[in-house]
Amino acid sequence: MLHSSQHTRMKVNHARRQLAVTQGAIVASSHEARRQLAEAQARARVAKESAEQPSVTPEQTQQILHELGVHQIELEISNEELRNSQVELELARSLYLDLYDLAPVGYVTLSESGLILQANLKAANILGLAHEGLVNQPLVKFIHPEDLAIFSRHRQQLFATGTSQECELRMLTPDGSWFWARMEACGGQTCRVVLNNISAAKKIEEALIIKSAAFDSAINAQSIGGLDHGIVMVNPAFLRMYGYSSQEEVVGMHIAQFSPNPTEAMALLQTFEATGQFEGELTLKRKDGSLFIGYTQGTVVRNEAGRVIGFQSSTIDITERKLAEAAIQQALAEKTVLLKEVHHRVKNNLAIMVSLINMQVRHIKHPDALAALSDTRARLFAMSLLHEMLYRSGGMDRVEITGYLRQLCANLSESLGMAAQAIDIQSHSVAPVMLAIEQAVPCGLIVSELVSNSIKHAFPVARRGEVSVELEQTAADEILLRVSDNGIGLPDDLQIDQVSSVGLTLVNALTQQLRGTRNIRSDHGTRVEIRFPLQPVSPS
Amino acid sequence: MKPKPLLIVEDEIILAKDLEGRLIDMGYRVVDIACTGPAAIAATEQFRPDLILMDIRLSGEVDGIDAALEIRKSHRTPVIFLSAYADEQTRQRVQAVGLCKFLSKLIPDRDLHTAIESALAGHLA
Repeated sequence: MLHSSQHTRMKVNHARRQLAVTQGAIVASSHEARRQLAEAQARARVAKESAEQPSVTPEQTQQILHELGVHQIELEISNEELRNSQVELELARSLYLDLYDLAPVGYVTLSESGLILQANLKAANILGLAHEGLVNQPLVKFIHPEDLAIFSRHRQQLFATGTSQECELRMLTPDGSWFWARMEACGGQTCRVVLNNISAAKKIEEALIIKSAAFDSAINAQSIGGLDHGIVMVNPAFLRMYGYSSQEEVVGMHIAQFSPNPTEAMALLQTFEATGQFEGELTLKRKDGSLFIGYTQGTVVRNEAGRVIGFQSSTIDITERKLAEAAIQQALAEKTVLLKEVHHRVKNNLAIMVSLINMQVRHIKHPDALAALSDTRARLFAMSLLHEMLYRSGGMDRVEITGYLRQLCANLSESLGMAAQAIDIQSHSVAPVMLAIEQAVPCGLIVSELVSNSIKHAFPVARRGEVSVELEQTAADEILLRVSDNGIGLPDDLQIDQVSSVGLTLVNALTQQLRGTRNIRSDHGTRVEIRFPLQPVSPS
Repeated sequence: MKPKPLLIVEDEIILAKDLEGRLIDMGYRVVDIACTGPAAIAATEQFRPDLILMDIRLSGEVDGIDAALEIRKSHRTPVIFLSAYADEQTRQRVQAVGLCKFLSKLIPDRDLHTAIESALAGHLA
């Protein structure tokens, strides 16, 4: 027989064990349910024990009740602890879920054979699949065929070294598109892989590579500078043009150091900063101090907010071009001088011929011979005058035709004994008509013949009357030359095509040379009209 | 009336001879034909013409304007330049000579005669 207090302890311990067995149920159910369950079981146990041992002293009962009360409190504390643990567990689980599934990078766990054992949401998202669609899939299935070698090498290195490995390759999505991924793996046979979609970064990287390559391969010398006007970066063409061997030599140099005149360069920089851009020719200095002429275009560089963060400039070496230009200018000047000399010589020789005829005329008395020599002299004079005017004008290859005809007619009226004011020269064109030498010579000879003819034949009595020379640019490309007089006109029976005078022969031939047409009218005097296309003259 | 003595300065002898004929026809006397600048200076000293008809382009170092400037140092003989030269620089140099006029070599006789008479009458600036 057990001592009653021992017995009581045993009973309490039993109750404790019984209660411990039910702890799992208590944890799972609510507090109230647990309470009811415990009370029911306690009542059942007390009833059973009372039946087995009906004789319990009031002290014993009191002791049991105390023990039970204490244990209940113990249980309540334990229960509270359990509930706290459960909350912590819940928290840890959601933290894990957050860390693993909702991580901004894809996590994949691979088996030894490369099957996906586990993957987080982001990995599924990157590969464009549902979460569960990844498990048990071989990762190689998602690698771009052209990058399989990269993947294979990556795996081999991982197995061989056991240290974390990285690679960049293209991965496929179920819709057939691909993207650039960075893969970082660690672990041994069963490895963990971090996946990142780096397409956007790759795109930026590729654009930067192209920009950098364009900068480096540019023929122009390009430089990028900072706010302090110090060089930050130059391209190889810059190094070649300025005679430096490396970037390091140039970086940090002040932009004005490339000018032979730093004071002038600083003044230019101020203007550049005020306007934000520069374009023009500059004398520039190489490393060895030699100079060259550059054509430079520069702009300030602004950031996205519009704030100036530096400058960029691009230069081409135009030294050779400038030298060539100077040589051309020199050649042109020499050509002009030479041409002037040629016109002078031609004019002089023609003038000598006119003088020779003049001298001859003074010794000739026969009227026919005199007339023939005078006509020839007038023709030579027309040409000589033209060369003198060409020689005087800057253009050298063209002449203002009205002024030329006016001088020509003044001489004709004088040499043929007609009052100068009786010959009227009019230009009906607003702008001065410039004729090329090829057209001015025939034009002058025609006028010389027609005016001479009018003076000699239109006014048989006292040679008084009016001769008019008119010039008009009728259309953009046609000249109308009209020589008319108010004399007696042509004889009624004259068949103009039958006439075989030197003068008319010349007029017809020269009109043909001008590719023009001739029209003769006899009505209150004689009127001859010549139309010819204006030959364009090159801009002077 | 005694014909006025004129000096011709022209290095093209045919042009000079023709001009001489024309001047004689107009009633003048040609005292000499000089072909160079120094010859013109010497002839002026020697013949003291009333007027000089001077070509600008002359063979040799001294051109017509330089010769006229030299003559002007000791003579107030009027000068008529006969030349096709007409650029601005030449015209300015001619102005510096004073008592002179610029005419084209191809001037008709009538105009040449008028110009000579005007010069002889002292109307040159």
